[in-house]
Amino acid sequence: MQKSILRHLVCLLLGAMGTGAMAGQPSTAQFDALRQAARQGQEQCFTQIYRDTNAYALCIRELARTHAEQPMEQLGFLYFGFVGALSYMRVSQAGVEPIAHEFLKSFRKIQKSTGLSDAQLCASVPGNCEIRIGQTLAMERAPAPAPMRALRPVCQAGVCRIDGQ
Amino acid sequence: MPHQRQAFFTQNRNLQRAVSAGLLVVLIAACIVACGGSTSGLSVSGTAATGAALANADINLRCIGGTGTAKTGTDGSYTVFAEGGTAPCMLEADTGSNKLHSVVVSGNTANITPLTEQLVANLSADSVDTTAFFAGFGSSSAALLSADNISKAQAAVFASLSSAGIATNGLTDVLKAPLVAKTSTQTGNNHDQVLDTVASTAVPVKIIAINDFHGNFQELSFTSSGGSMVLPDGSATSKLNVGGAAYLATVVKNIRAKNANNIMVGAGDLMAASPFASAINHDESTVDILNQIGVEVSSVGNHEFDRGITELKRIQNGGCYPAGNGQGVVGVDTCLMPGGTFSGAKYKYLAANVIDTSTGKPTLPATYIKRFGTVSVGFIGLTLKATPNSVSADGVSGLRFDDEVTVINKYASQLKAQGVTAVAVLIHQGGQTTATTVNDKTCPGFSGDIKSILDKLNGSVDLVVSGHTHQEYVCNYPTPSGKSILLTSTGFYGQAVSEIDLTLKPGVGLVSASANTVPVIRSISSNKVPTGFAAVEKDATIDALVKTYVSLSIDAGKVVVGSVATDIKRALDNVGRDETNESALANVMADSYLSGVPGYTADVAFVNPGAVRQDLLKTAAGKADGAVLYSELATIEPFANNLMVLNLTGAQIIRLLEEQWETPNNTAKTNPATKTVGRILGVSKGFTYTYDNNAASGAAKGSGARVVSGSVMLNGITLDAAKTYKIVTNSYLATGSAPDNFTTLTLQGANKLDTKIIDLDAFVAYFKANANLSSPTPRVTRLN
Repeated sequence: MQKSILRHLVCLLLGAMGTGAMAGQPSTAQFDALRQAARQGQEQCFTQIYRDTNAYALCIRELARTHAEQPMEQLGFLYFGFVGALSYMRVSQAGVEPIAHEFLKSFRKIQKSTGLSDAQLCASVPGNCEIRIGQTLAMERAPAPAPMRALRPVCQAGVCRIDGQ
Repeated sequence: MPHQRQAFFTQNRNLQRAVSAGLLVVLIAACIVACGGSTSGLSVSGTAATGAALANADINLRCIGGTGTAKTGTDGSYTVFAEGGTAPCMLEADTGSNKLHSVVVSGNTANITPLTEQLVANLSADSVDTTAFFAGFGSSSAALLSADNISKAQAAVFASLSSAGIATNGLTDVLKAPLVAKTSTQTGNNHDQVLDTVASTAVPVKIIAINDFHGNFQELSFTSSGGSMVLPDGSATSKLNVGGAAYLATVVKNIRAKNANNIMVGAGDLMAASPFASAINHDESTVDILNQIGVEVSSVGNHEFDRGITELKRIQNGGCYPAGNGQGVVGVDTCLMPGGTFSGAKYKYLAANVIDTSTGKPTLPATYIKRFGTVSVGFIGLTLKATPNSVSADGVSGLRFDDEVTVINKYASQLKAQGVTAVAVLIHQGGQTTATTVNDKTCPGFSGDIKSILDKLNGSVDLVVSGHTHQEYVCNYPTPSGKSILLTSTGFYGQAVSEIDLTLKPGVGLVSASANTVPVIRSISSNKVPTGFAAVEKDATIDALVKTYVSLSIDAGKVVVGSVATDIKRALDNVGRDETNESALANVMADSYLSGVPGYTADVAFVNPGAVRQDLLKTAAGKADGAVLYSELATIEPFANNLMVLNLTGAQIIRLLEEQWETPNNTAKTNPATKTVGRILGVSKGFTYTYDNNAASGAAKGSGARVVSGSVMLNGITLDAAKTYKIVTNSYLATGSAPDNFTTLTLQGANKLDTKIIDLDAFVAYFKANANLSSPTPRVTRLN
């Protein structure tokens, strides 16, 4: 846990240094807003993801929608939405991959307008930023995933199980 | 010389004490005779010590026919008399913070030490609660204390000392060999020195944990839920195909081979909410497979209560599923073990916080103690307090689910007071991290319901094995009290195990704890295994067992559950699947919904057309003409949604019907041949309406107007717009986040109630109750 906090701080520092020369450098208050929004997204929505991935997505979308005029907050919600889904992608929970892609697309749009680097954004949610940023870029490079489809039965010799459930 | 003199004086003092104690016993016996009482009884003497003497400890003696109590002296020596007692007896030394046990089979001498405690544990099963063994000692358990058993148990003690590299210094009998315990005024003898060495020798223990297996013993595909894991691969990641009981068994075997002091445990939801191959036999197959893989103890999870406590106890204790309603057929859906039996789970389910309200006690054992030579681990098993929220009321009838923290702290303190070396909690409750690869032990961004539990645990808890959230983590969780508790969870469906290493010292407790998540990586060419991980081959025995159960489940699917007089197809016009037109089979399914919830006085049922996955044909290969097989119904309705009841007004029902053609349903499903669009709901018997196919489709939500005014009727009576009707539908439509655009049900349905009745069960029951079903007459009239 302590290592995690340390890594988190280092990441934040590196992120801030790495893009310090960028135009529109966000203020400390804006960083705080970003982090707080990410935390709020986690507190309000993350517990729903293992029971109902769609409920999780709805919860994040609703938070983002209600903060449409506050880009840093909106970015924090959407970025957490992405990381939360990514966290369940590592154990291949059904239905989280399209959600991760959806939030990836939507946070990227806002990230551009804020001038935040990947490292700065990554620092808003605890975790290994080197790996997470690599995963993010890999997802963007990969072909777009198939649209979310309904669950379907796969039957063998009259015995069926649900593919993707 | 001074040393020898001290030893002489020490022995002399001991002799004096022994003589004094003997005289005291004689005097007491004489007094009893003088008072006219009986002189029969058993006097036992010895020393209680852990290396250091156990001074002023309570000594309790339980013999056949009598009991006695005494206190130890400052050197740990004691003499206790059980009036009317005869051997065999059990002894307990209680210091207030620790309990040790011993036995008396013959003679009048018995020491009470960590080695006699180990001997007592060896007398019963491998894992025994020695305090409970002592408390329940009587004529029925006396047979366990035979000379032969004592001899074997003693041999096991010396074998464990040998394997731990502890020299025995000529000690050959831990019960009766002279024991002089170390005190401030005397040194210990050879026996005591062995106890000192035992106390200072750390013992490595391995715990192998799983959670949320949910009967997934078959191999999952790479794209299935739970079928893969993302592993760190240097600074990148690799996604690998994982799971399958045959592979899991090999992983467990490999871990066991590293340390003989091991135990495999579970944190709940090992069964239920399981795939067909397990569900069809009420998860007996899963129990058999987990028995053979070697799970030894598990907490219950919420899903263990899905079919009620009576069924859970059958799963624990064995016996066939009750016969009736086409179920409980030996060799088909139950008692599939050799000889047509089901012996139950060899592993012990623990339910410390699940209280039988009729007795006020846990409905299943609360704790389990596992001894590893000179140390022991006490396990407390429990499920989330909120279990009743996710289980049908019938499933938890007569049970109370108590607060997790209160229960854990109570039993943890008890276990430590009984002398267990470490306490592990198996809890079906969990958390979540923001890690994006498996085995990220930094536990980043940890959150979730288990946090508030961990924050309030007392210092007696050393390890928490968790589950429920289907997450994977290894955390050293810092509690507010300053203690760091190792916390693990493995994901779900047997994707991985937690390999937990504890180092324990007798009389000290936990010295160190660490864990790894070990993914169950299949040795297949598509899996490119990153450094630090290993793929495994299948275990042949478990693989054969899995194949047997899959084969049996295929046969069980062929069970006839009903009959039809005609084909019942998804579309009335025989074109196969056509969601834009009324579906005969969806209507029959709606009928099964309505009859499936008899206690809820529902008026009408609605089924989304996408819920009907196959036509039901009167004639098909592999069955008698007209027969309806279980596997056919399971294919038609495979989602295992729960049936839910909710209230809608007549006006809201009409809005629900309009949603069939409103945007985006008007473009989601189209049929150029019939010039129809939209998703047409299946409706139950007695519900009829007319719509105009020429009226505009694709209206915005809430503004469609295709239903002909006044045409909607229930049992021939026009629907009352203001009246409230009770609706039955599936959980997908009632609570889904994207329920095919039928949001009237999700957003406006009032008083929603999950009946916990699975749609397939209702469907099967409907066919069983209604023989020779025919395709129903249309209930929806299409104009134009």
